[in-house]
Amino acid sequence: MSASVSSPSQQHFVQAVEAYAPRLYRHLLYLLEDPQDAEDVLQEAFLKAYRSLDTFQGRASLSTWLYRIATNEALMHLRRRRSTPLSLEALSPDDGPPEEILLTHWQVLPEQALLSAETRQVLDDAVARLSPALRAVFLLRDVEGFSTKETAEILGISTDAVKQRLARARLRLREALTRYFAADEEARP
Amino acid sequence: MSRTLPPGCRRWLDAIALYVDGDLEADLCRALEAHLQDCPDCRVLVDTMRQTVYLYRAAAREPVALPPDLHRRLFARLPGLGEEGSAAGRADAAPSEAAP
Repeated sequence: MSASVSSPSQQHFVQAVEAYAPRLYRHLLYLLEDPQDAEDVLQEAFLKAYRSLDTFQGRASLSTWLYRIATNEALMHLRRRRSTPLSLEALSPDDGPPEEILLTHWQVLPEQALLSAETRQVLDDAVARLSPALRAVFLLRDVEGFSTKETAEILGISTDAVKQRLARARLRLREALTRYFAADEEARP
Repeated sequence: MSRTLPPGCRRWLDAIALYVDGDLEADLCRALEAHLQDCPDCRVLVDTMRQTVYLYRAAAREPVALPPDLHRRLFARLPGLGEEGSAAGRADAAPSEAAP
């Protein structure tokens, strides 16, 4: 540890940065879809967290606290970037279940799918097409691994709202992957 | 030609999306499981939904590459931690193992 770290809270903060920066960066990259924006927002989030260290109580919720700060910063950034208002409070009609649910069965092993750059792009594009309201919930629950309760706490919404948005997000992602993998299966001799 | 879910099964959509990782109330879970016994279409939906979630979770376990020098730039902005950049530079290349 560097001599410039002069207090236990600073030492903990440096450890938190080293532990959480990679995952927070990925979270922000998914949310913002721009590497420079993701880095800028990550820096702002850690700066804000550092200045608020004395308001943080209890290591048990350190990750929830950091993700709340970073996610709020990202959503503020998205609001500034968009010409139309961004609301996390209500779902738009576009956030409903897909009009058509394809029933083609597909099966792919993660090690097969994740080795292919094309498949990774399909996974990422499907997430990028979700509205910010659905995307934020999906990323926190299924990518970052937070519980429903923790996700509700991070986003400041009810657990029922988290469940509804997670369901809608998963349905849209399943549809996107089904259209991709089913086309693959149908093309096989 | 691909088939689509019959209109009568659309009411199960949200429940199926939450069923795959057990995040469904007990009453609704029992009702859905009874429906699944008689509905092969919804069973396809459950299976492909499960695979969708599994794929994204597997992708999330892959290492995350940070932009070069991110820690140095970050610590340079934090009062009292400016010199930490050189020590933390090592973490730029190392993905985190921490869990939430």
